[in-house]
Amino acid sequence: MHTLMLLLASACYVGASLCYGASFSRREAPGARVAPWLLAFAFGIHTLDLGRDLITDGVLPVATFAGGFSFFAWLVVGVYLALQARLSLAVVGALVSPLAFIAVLLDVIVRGDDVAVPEALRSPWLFVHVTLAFLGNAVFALAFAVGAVYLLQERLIKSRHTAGLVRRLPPLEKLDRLSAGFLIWGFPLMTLGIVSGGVWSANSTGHFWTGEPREILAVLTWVLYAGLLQLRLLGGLHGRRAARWTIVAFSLLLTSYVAVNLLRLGTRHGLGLAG
Amino acid sequence: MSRELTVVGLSHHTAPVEVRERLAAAAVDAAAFLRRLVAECGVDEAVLLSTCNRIEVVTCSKAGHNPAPPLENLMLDLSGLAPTNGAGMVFTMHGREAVRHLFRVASSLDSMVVGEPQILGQMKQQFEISAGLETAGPVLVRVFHKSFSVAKRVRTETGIAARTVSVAATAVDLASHIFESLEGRVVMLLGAGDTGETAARHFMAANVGQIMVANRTFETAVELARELSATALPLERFRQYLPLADLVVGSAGGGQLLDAEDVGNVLRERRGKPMFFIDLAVPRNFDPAINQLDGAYLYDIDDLAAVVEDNLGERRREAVRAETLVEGEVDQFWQWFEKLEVVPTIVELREYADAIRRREVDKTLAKMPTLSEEDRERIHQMTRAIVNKLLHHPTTVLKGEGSPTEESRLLTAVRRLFGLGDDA
Repeated sequence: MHTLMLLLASACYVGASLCYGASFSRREAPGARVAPWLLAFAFGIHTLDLGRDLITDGVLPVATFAGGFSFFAWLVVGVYLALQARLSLAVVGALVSPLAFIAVLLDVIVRGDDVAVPEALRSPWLFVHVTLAFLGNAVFALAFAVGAVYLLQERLIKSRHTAGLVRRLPPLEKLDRLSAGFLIWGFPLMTLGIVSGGVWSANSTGHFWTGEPREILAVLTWVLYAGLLQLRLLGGLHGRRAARWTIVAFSLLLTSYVAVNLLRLGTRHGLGLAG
Repeated sequence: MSRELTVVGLSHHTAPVEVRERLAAAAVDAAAFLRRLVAECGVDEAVLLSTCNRIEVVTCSKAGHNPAPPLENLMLDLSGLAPTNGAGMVFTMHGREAVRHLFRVASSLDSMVVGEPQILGQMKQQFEISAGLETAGPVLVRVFHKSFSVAKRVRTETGIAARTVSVAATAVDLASHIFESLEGRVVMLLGAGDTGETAARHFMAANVGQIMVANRTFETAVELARELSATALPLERFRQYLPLADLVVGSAGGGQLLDAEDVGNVLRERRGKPMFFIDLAVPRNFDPAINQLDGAYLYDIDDLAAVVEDNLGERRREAVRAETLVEGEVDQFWQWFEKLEVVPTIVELREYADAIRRREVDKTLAKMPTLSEEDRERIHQMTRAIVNKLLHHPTTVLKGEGSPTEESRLLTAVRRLFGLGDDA
């Protein structure tokens, strides 16, 4: 049942990816109108599956890397869908749909049937910590996507390739504004995610700070984002440089996440818990 | 009674502007022109189509009456042309061809700049005038309404009007890919010549906030500034105000006014807010290296011309699609128009046959006075049955669905074979 639902969700994510892709390759492609609905439908199935996991296991499915990635992709799509009507950012839909497809497919292939859930993971603090931290990461992922689109659009305009794609991408100023907006929303989420992680750690181990590599990396990433936000808001960091730094910051976030989870750097968290 | 559609006129394809404007002046009183036309040319319905690119008359008349010769003469007469000079200038189209022409004109496929948006509005306006004068009857009302809806379809389903085809409009379009909205933006115009003015007017139409005009001769700047309700600056002082400008249009003589370093400083002062430089001057006003700066975008006249050329190509490609669409619509319309003729033809054919039958039966019965009333009725019934049986098949064929051309050929054949509609 679980596999079947995820397969259906991934099929819809693929469909949405193709429709979004088509709407960027040609004017008035029929896919443009279908794409958000397909994506929303895939998201709905994905939600049901995650909900089922939460009810049967009592925890978010973040005990494995694949489960965590799937949850992350679900949040990214969720945030995108919540905003897309207001922001009309079809191009970001074209990026998040394949991401969600890969995540769900990976979940189907890699995740074993049932993982024994360590007792420490059943704490409500963990639920808060994981949700906030992942939500922050999802918002940063959107900042990253918008930043990448900015660089693409900027290159197209500067190199005078104004015939096709330029017309279907948002104006530079809007991309710049949205990328900054995502940073502003993501940062407090990330901060709360780290703090709640400390509280959870204090509850389960008695120590707020244990000096594990994952904690050090989390704080370093936080400092990087804090600096980026500071420069964005007060230092006049805009445009191309801002987009590049947003991409660098997220790449580091992603690298540390993957490193921590695949290399088992966070021993005490047990398994490959992301966060 | 069947009808004939005719278009007679001259357009930018056939006649030079001097001739068009003479005729346009003569037709300026549409009411008088149309009344004269209906009176002199024997048409039932008429619509005048007069724009700066064309003066055409669309008419509907009874079949068999060709209103083209008197219409052509009237046109030549009003445009002051001798028939020999004007021979090639006045064109005439009939039937299907006339319908296609109207659909193409409304869809802006016949315009000087294909895809230009004004023609449809002008056509509607002109049609309203003729409708108000009641010279447009049921057929032309239908033709024109159809041509408006065809134009709408062409506009929404093809990209013939999707791209800008003037340098100034292209600059505005490019700006909309950099700035989220042009509303409230500050435009600085360097040089107060015609080129700069045209660009400024396009930006004004896009609702920019403020325009500054800087010119070497300050008086000229003041003059243009007054026209555009802008602010005038002496050219020496434009740098002072440059940080305020989101869009900078260069159209001043005398070569380079800004290099990359100048602009780099201005961008820092603007704290990263983007700037769009549009260089319409030759020699160029802005250093091409400005385009390399983060947050500065520069297009010179050649870049813009290349975009325009590209857009024109796109319009031409889309125009081919539009022609196909129009052709389909013409087919559909023509089918309807032919059907208009089918029913009257069948009725006429039956009336014709029945008249002969009655005449012959009456003649015969007059010679047979001994027949009873019952027998007379029987003869009537028999002859009616013969006529019905004879006409049954032709009627079915006429009513049937054939191709438009086949149908029209059949109708003509029937009318000729039986001598219908000759008022004979």
